[in-house]
Amino acid sequence: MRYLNNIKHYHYGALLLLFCLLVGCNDGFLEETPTESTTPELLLVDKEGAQLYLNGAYHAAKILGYGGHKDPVNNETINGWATTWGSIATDEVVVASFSIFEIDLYTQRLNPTTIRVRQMWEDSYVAINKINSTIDRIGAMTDDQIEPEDKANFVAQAKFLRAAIYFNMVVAWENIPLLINEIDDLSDDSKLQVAQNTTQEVYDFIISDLLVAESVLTNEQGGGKATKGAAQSLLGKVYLQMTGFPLNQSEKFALAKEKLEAVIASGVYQLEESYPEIFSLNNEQNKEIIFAIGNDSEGQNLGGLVSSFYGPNGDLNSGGGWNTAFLNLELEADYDRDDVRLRQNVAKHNAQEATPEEGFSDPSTWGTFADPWKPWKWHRPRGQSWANNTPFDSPIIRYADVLLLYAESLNGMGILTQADIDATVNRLRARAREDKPPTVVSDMFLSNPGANASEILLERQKELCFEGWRRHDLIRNGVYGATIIAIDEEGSNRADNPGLNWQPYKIRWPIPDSEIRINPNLKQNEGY
Amino acid sequence: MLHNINRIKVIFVAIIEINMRIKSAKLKKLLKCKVLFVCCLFISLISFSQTIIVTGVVSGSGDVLPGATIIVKGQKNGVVADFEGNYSINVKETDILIFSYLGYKDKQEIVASRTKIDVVLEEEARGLEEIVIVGYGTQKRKDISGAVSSIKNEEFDNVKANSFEGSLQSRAAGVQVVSSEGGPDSGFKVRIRGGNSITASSDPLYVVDGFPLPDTGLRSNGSTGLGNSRVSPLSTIDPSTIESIEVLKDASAAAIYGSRGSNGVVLITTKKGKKGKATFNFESFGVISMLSNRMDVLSAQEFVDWRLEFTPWDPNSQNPLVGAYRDEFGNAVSLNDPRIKLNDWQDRIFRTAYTKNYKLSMSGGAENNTYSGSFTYADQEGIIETSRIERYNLNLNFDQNVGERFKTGASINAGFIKKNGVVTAATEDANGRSGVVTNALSFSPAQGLVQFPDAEYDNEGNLLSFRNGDFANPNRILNDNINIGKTFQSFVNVYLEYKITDGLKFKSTVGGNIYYNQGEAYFSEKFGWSAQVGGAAFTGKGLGLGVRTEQSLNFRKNFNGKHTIDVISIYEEQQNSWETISNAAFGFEIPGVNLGNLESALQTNPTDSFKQKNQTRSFITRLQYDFSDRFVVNLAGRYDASSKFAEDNRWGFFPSAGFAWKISNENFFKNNKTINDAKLKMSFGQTGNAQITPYRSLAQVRLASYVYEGNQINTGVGITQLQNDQLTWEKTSEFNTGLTLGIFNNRLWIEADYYYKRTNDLLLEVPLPATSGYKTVLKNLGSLANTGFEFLVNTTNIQRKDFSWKSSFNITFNKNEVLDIGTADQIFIESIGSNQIGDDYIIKVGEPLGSVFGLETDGVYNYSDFVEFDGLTNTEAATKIRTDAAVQGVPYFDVFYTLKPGITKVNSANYRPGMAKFKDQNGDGVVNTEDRTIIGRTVPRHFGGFTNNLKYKNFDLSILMSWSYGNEIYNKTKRLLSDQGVPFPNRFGIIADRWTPENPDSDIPGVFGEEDAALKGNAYSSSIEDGSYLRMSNITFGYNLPKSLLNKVSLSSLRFYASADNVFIITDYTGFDPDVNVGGNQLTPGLDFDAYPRSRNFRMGLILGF
Repeated sequence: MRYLNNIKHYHYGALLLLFCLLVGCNDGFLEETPTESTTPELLLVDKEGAQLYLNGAYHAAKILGYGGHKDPVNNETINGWATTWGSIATDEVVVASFSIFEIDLYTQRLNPTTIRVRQMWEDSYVAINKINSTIDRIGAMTDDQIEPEDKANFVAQAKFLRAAIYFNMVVAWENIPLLINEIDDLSDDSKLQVAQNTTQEVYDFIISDLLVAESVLTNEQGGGKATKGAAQSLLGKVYLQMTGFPLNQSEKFALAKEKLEAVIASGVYQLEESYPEIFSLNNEQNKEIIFAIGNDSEGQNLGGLVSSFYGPNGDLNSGGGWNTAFLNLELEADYDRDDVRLRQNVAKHNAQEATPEEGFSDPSTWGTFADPWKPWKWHRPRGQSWANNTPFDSPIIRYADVLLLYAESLNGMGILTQADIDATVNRLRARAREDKPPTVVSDMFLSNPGANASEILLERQKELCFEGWRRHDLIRNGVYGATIIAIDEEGSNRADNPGLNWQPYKIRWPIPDSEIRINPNLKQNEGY
Repeated sequence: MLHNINRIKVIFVAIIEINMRIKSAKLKKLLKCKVLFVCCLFISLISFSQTIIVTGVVSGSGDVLPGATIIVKGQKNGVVADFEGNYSINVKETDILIFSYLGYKDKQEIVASRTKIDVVLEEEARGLEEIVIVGYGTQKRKDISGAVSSIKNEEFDNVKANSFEGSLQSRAAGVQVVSSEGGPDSGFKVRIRGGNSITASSDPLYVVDGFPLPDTGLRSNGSTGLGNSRVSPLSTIDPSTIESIEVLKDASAAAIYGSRGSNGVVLITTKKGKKGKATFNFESFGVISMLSNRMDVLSAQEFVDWRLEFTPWDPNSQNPLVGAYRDEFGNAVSLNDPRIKLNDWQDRIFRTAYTKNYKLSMSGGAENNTYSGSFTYADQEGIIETSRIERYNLNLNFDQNVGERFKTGASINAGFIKKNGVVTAATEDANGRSGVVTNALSFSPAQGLVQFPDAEYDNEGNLLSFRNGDFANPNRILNDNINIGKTFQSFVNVYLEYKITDGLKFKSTVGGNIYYNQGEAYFSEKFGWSAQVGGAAFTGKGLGLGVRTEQSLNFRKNFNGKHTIDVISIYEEQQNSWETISNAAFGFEIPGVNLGNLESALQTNPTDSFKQKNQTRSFITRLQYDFSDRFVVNLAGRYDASSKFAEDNRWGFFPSAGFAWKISNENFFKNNKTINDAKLKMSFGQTGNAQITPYRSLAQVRLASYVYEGNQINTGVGITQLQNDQLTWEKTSEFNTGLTLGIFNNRLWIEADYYYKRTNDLLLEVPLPATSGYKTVLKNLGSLANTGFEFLVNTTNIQRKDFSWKSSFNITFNKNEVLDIGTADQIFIESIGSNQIGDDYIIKVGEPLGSVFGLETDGVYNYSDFVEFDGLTNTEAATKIRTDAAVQGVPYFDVFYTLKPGITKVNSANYRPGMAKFKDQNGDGVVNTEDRTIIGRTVPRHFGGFTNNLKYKNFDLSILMSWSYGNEIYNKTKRLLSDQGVPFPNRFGIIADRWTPENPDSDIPGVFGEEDAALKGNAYSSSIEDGSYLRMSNITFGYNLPKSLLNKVSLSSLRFYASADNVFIITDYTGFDPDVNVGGNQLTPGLDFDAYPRSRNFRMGLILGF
């Protein structure tokens, strides 16, 4: 019995000890230390960290391009401005009758619950916030963390990206809230429910961002980074856009001219000698590219879907597209038969029956039925679908665009001369003519400002189709509605003509219904 | 006098029972006077007789019963049977012996002059004395103040379900078990009293032999690549090794698991050894399975008729579609033409499947220990060709007394599964990612005369795939694609118990689990979508680890014979981790070389990895107080910290209180002859939920790289989550009240429970204005409620010596309602099964979870809707439409007409008869996405089960029926197979009755009828179907060889049985089976797409005991 008692005491002690061992000795037990992500505080302590953060801002800006890349976090596909806004609801392409998501865009049947419009709104503001975060957080770094010049340069690059996204948004919706700082508190509804700014305020903000970028950044090709030239080119574009609907500020022609002139005068950019070379996979970031969205296909979700969305008839493996977008045949008809741009931009062949080289150069491969002709520009090789993840960079502004914008601004000011035309439009035509006689893709001659404007607009379409500016151009020139009404492209797999549903208020997109429901301070655009 | 004796007997037995149960001298004192009185009475009735020694064996249910008590009626003294059930007792000839054993009915034998009395005790109908496992201990059913369902092994063992959920299905009131699909290892969705959460998981907590399963890793499907098949989290456990399944349903019962108990707790206890003779069993069964229900698709002739209508004859057309089923003059070719290849794809992918199952088990125990062990091998084929699983399972248990005060023990459960699967429940219907079932339903039943440019053919001209692999030959999918999964899971628990003093025990437990799975899939380079990338290989590995320590002090004492208290205090820590690594590689050029040589791939995607870890620390206490076996109070509290929340909001306190009144133990009730047991109970409590992924309270900056210079990838990062210190526990408060009645000596047993529970501070992914830069944020916001009623009746309809018939019936009513989701008045969810339909489920205040959202279909536009057909008969109208088409030179479905004023329009420019029509919900005259409404509710009004067990001599028969009523199913397969806008795929059988000019009385849109309405991105009510069903789930017929025969062959038991599963079903549902719920998203219940069909099984088996 004594023995048992001893045991008892001994065990009380042992149990107590055991308890202590199991309980108290690990203070960090409940702390989380993930290795799958980091925090801004841990990251933004030096220039290298800031560079990583800035690269993330460029990633967010991929929404400017033709889209189709995946959000690395939730694996959702991000659609791009260049296709969703710039190309689909215009006279460049015709959507297939079975393209569930694009058909309402194309046929002008948008309403506030249309999914694509909602996605563009949401994804754009997510991108804006990430860029705002870059501007705010890098901007707040101290001098011992980053050299002031580096900091200013990084912030200026991010401002360029922000301006570029806001520019698309303000043209598309006109009435948007302007978020100029990162949102750092999601708990206060009153701060989240922002109101819309005026169109003028948004433009002014875009211009102020671009002026900062212009003043800080250097003049170089950039290889995908924002530069002084990119900022000046975009400024030119923005000023020019302000001359048209809805602001109609014709005094901006002169400001546009000034900026575009500076780009031309800088000598940094040149026209590529051959039109197809601009879009070659081996020649991305060439001397004609002023700013392009970088894409790649090595399985990091950094590619896009452009060559699936735009691509020849036939299966993907043979270099074909998805059969969701067809060519607007008027565009094909507008080209001179020997214009190299016709062959580069229009796929008449079937991918199964001809290689891209044959499709480009061998007329015998071109089908006689126009119905299955497809938009084309970035020629995917055969046997490579890149798993629906195409690597072609998405040009945002190239030198040819700047030349045409310059001609347009001179024409707007009423000072366009034949010499100017020769230095701009006719240089592009000469390139498109290749080494054929001047009767092919003949030169433009100076006419009255109205005729000049139409000619330049048409030239922009031939040169820049599918690059994402058509809808901007049509709106700026006041012919968007007329163009939509004139589309007559019905066919067996092609959607209805959009003109049947056209209403003038549809020049802008509706504010997504889901946003208005959650933010009562937002007002729906007129008409919707 | 006789009457009196009987009464005295009853009272006497009751008293002894109480004595045995409580073993409390003090209580005895209370009863002493009564006992004395009774004894006197009794003794006065009997005469003096001689003392003899009686021996014998006590057995029951075919086993000896070690530890059975044998008492001389009317006396205090008794003996206990030894390990082999043997007893020996000194009695008088006139004595009456009372044999009793827990869970068995007492039996009395008059000694007379016998010296050997062997007794076989009969199992007791479920009663208040039943021991129920309640988590961190056991309770008697009579002491339970909460809601607990208990299913014992004998109830489900005969049925031989493939997983424990199958054993649970339709047997416990309040527990909804819905299959995901019908495949060999398909998982289930288990909901205890409805879904409580929106963003956080609503899955219950599973506890295996005291070890709570981590909530991570459960959603893994055991294979990789495409598809969303789910497997059970406990698929590695052989259900026949389970002793009992207890379901803790209300807050009082689940409070002991408070922090994780808000979705209910499922306790699984495996079989332990019993003291007594060692037993050794061999069990085996074989199953033949076949498809129970074919899907109705167009026959080859109906399909060709549709195709001919889709592409009208045009001699000038170069479209290859036009000539596919026509000769050069435009006449339809006969299906007897040898050039037409006919295939019934359902016949070609489904097979008669065979399953083999073998189990060896042994158990036993000596004075100071018990042990048991079993090993099971199962080889189960699925009814889809090539699908198969093999399972190996090992289960070991031992308990050992070490000296007087120490007790120790361990249990080990390990299982390994090898799976050869097929892709089902696929994510997308386009890009060819659909599974084999969808392909079998949709692949063309009649291959025509022409070969298409965007299709692939084999050397014999058989079609392999079409439209970039959107549709692929089902047989080739099965033969050329590979999908292998291997899963290992093990649970280990070791404990040491130390009895400090009488009534005070300390117990220390350490447990762990390991979960490993590896999946490999290869999609052929030869055909289909994967041919475009030269073959696609996916591999993935996942490892889950859990460690848990528990230190508990348990004090149990009776004071004054009136007050019994039982207190347990526990300190617990648990740490779980889950990590995966996966690869994707494309482009395999060497024939036959793929998964075994990933480096031969032309392109390998960067490796994906994922590591998560979370920790919980808890202090738990439970107090049970019993007053004089009449009132029970249960108080429990649990104070928990989860690493998933920020420091200041990490701890949560979850209290509960339960009260039970054992009315039948009241004096005024004791004379009630009808009702022998009656208990009223009531409880209130709060439980918590933290089943979200870790790291949600931290700021997160994640990979977002960018490409400079055309092809130089530069690492980048972007902010994806802001720090959220406010995040804390989601809390569910629940009120429960119930009545338990045992009538006619428990031959009628009724349990009824009513509950109301409300989840507040939901861990909700709240929609934000996107201008904030975030689409949603995880917040504690909103609430939802579940109200319900559960009813269980067990009856012993007939109880005779040779014949018994018992029934069990349960029914559950649960109403689920979303009460608050913050500023957003609705949240949309997109279900799997189509990348062409968005936002098809909705969460909306005032509605239940699982509401399907879309457009209400309203038949078709018909002649009477158009100006041009006014006054024409149907025949004249048909003639007009055909004539107009001929004049315009287009097919009839391209001729458009003028709608009469007031007829509802759709979002379209052109109208014609045969086009799909929809309901204009907002009355603005035009149907567009704003006319979407709730078109389906997937929550049943009630569900339940009905079991009958019959025994005649050595034969037994059990019949299980189950039902669900009032739930709707979103049949997305039907939607896909109703498409009439693309030429190739086959369609649902109803399409044969589509609208045509000559068949205008149909509600089913004609060719291009839905396409022309241009609203296809939405769900349609035509794919919502009533999912109510009544199923004869199982019939089992068994025969146990009589002991006399067994003794001759030295066996202790031998049982033969035959059974049938899924015997028949009564339902209006047109899919394969209404018990379906594909995909892993708990917010899209009742979804059927590409589901593995259910089989009908016939089983023969034997159980041999040595």
